[in-house]
Amino acid sequence: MSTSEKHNEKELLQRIAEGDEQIFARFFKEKSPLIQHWIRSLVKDETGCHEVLQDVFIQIWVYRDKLATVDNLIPWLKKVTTHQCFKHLTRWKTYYSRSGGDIAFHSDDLSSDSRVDDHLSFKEMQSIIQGVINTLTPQQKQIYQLSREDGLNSEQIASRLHLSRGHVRNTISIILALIRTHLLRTGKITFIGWLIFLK
Amino acid sequence: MEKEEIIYLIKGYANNSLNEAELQTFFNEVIKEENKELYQEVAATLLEEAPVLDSFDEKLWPLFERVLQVDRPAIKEEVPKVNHFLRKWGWAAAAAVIFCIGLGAYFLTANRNIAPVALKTEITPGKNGAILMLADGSKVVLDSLGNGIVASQNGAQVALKNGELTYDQVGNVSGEMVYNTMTTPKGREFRITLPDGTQVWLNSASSIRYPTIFTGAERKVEVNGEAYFEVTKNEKQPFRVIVNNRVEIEVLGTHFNVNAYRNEEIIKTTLLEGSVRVNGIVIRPGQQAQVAESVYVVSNPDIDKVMAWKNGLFYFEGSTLAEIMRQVERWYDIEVVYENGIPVREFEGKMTRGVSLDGLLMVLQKLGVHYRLEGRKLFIMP
Repeated sequence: MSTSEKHNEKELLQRIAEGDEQIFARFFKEKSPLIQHWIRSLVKDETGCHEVLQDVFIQIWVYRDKLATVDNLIPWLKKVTTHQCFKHLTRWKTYYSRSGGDIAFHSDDLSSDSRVDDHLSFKEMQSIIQGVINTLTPQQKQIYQLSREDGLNSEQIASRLHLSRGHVRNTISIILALIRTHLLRTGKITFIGWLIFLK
Repeated sequence: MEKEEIIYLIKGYANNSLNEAELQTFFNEVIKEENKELYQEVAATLLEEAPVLDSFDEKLWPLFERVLQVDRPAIKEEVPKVNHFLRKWGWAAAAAVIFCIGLGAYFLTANRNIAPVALKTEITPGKNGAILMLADGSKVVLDSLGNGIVASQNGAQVALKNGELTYDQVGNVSGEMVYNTMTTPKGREFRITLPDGTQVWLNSASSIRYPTIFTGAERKVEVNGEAYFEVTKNEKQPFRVIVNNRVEIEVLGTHFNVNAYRNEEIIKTTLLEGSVRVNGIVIRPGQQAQVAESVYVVSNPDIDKVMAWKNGLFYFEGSTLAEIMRQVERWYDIEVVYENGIPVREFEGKMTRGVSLDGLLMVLQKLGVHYRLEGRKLFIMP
């Protein structure tokens, strides 16, 4: 990767860290073919691959405030991907081992079961996050809502609420850290060590 | 298992080169929490970094949309409103419940043979039932009885009619008044018509003690827990309710609810119709008297919330988690344990009390309550 490309990527990650959904969509469009390719080598059914892909991007999203500090994006993405694949195989091991050697792509049986399960797991994650949001102070809640509902970046939020930009950023970081703590406890996401950020 | 073998299996699975036996070993022996790190390490080496030629799949946009949904603050979610069958069909339907218990037991047993899994975790909601203690101290379990005479008590005939207990004067009263006590355990509720025609709905984990025939200058009963009264008018013989030996409610003819569970801090008397005096203080319809040490009159309590239990509902609106959980404990006969303090939440909506515990927990989970159920213990996590 050239220096300018690297610079571009840094800026992109910086904007995602700010909660910019448009830029995150661009990142998704750019990275999902590679990540999907990775997942396909580790998980052998198409529905499962989709689930893992979704979980990988959820994890990236809830770590977004840390993205700007990621120097080496690829190893970071690999770690998230392998974690989510392992989690998926663990969850479905009974099914997979029962179907033995005939693990078929596009297995209808698995896909219908799996969707229900996936739906529940997603709902669970949403409710965990909602639970965290419910415990926030009124100001934290207001900042979070402006960020996630109205899509404002920290500068816009700061000027609207007459706060410093640093304070807004910090607040969002704290909220995301709270969310991660709760998700980590349930195994929904994996802890990404600082080593990878600092590499 | 040797590390080399684990690595071989991880790689083999990725390359689709494992035979059936190896696949079994892979899932049974390798995909285990203890191998997680090794798995991630080996798997990472298998991921090629070469630019992928596949173009972006436009069908993935809904998936991306879902990712963004995960941490969007929820639009207030409406709890499913279900009309409790009791509300709709009245207590006649409750009688059907009693008749069906035998039948239900049969189906449950039959079901057990077919699908043992279905029975494993299901905690059913409370139902009609109570224990009647007669004057001589003997006890009758009312859950399992059909319509008919239950006992004769000093001139009164005690009968079960359509799921409620009634007292009819049939003979002469002799000597002292004798008392009966009806108790509902956790997970049961019952309805009784007292000798004067007064109707009492008894919520779970409650009791009422009353004479089998009201003689003398007043009609006096004692209650614990929660009960709703529709008192028959009789100005010559005032009706008096003694609550937890602490509060005295004096009634002419009226409808009111008493909530006096030992683990609720305040004894609440809510008046729907007529007028009552609570420890000497008069309250009007729509008002609630709260007694802790002295009487405090609340002008506009949420009547729907107060009466929800009688209408077969859990009422979340403006309730704290602790309040809801105390009802859940009594209704499902479970114990609630807070692992790390009681989470502060406000709730809204209402739902039928007719759902199984699982059904209720699913709704609470949607509302952001985290829990773990072990047997009949419900652990609430922060």
